[in-house]
Amino acid sequence: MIVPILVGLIVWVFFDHQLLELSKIKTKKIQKIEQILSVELKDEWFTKRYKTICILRYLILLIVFVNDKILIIGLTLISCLIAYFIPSLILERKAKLKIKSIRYHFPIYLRQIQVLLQNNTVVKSIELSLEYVPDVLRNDIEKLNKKLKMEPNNMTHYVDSMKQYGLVEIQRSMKWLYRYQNFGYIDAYSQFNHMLVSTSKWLRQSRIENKNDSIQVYQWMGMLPLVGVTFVFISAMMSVVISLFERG
Amino acid sequence: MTDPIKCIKLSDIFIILFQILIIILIAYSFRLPVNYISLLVVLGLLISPFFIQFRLSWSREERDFYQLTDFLQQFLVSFKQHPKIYSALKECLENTDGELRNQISLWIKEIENGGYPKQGAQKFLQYQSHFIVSNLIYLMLAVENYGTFNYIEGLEIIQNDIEDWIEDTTLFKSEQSRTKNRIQILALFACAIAWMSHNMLFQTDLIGTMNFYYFSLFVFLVLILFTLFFSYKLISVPWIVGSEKL
Repeated sequence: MIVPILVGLIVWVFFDHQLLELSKIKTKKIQKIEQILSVELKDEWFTKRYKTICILRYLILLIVFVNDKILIIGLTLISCLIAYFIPSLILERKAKLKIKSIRYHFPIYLRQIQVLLQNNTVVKSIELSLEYVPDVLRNDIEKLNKKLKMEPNNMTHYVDSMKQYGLVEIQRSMKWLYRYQNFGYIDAYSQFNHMLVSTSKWLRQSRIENKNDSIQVYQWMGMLPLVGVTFVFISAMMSVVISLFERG
Repeated sequence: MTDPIKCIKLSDIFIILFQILIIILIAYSFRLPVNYISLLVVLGLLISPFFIQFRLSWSREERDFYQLTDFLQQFLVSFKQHPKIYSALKECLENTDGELRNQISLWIKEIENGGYPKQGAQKFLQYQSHFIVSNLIYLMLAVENYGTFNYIEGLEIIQNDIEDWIEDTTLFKSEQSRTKNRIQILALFACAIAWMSHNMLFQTDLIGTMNFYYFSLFVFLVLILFTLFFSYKLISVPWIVGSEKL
């Protein structure tokens, strides 16, 4: 069993360069994460990930010294898999947090736009809103503003803006802004009212979710006294057992 | 400016000290050695100012929140009747207090000195940058500077936002207060369970080695103190959340 594994390891080392290049291929998931986080993963990120796996693969050499070979193979496999998936899982978590933050801040931003629309056009409102746009939305809004200045009537600019987050509410709002810009106030009036109601609901829902999250951490603190009383009970039982042993 | 200490009721301080006293009495009823009881007393004395500070912070935040929202509502209604920021500010000044009053006075002075209205408003926004405040002020500035036909609608949107904000915050704060009470009741239950098991154990006369048992009781009571600490920490978070500020 040892020989084929060692041969396999040597073959792996021999094809290291090719495998490294293979590992640099960006999956759809990675591409989506890049879009959400507005970053481009460089070669170093992939090289670092592959090098970590390269170090961990030598754990397999322990089979020469340890009897439980299955355990060593399992451990090596698991550690290599963890080293491969953890970096992308960290990025995925960052992306999720960003989407959560956008979901919370977008209705706040939309409210600003709705107020600015009282005496401005959509394009002007977006431009004016740049001063106080929440940080998490700034990049996307700046891009949208630039595009709209070039072509204010192009629907694609509205629809494509923040599409990467996959939030239906944002897409709806963007389409509504397009209609408001292009078909005028009177046609969009009823939609404007719908949007106000919808934004209010969304705003309140995000606010309540955010606040409930902050309470949940503390609710676990309520378990602390119960842990303490369990500890007291166990120590009392231990004392009884020790006393019984001492008495013979 | 209102003295912050006036925001807290004497009964609140009494409740805090009473809770710590109960823990020390429980320690005494468990017949813990004097050194453990002394440690608990010292810890209780060290920790109680934090409890008072957290309770104080709740009262101060509550007062500031309601004062700000009352001001915004009045400011808005006043502006609706007569769309001039200066007169609306003057009308609201009398009903405010503390830092808010200072900031409004500064804004009024800026306008009286002939500055551009936006400058005074921006200073106020630096003090309170909540998105509702910012929306309201920018709409008012736009109405005053350029005039508009539809501003009443915009003010109504903001008015609804303020009402929703008050409702959500009040509901959340009462939920927080209930959670705090629930945690404290759980701590009390844990004490009751520990006391019952302690009594049962001593009736059997089976226990001989006490040192480890006393130590575990001491750890348990310290945990209860920390639970109380976290329950008060829970209510010390700001009423106006940072994530809604621009």
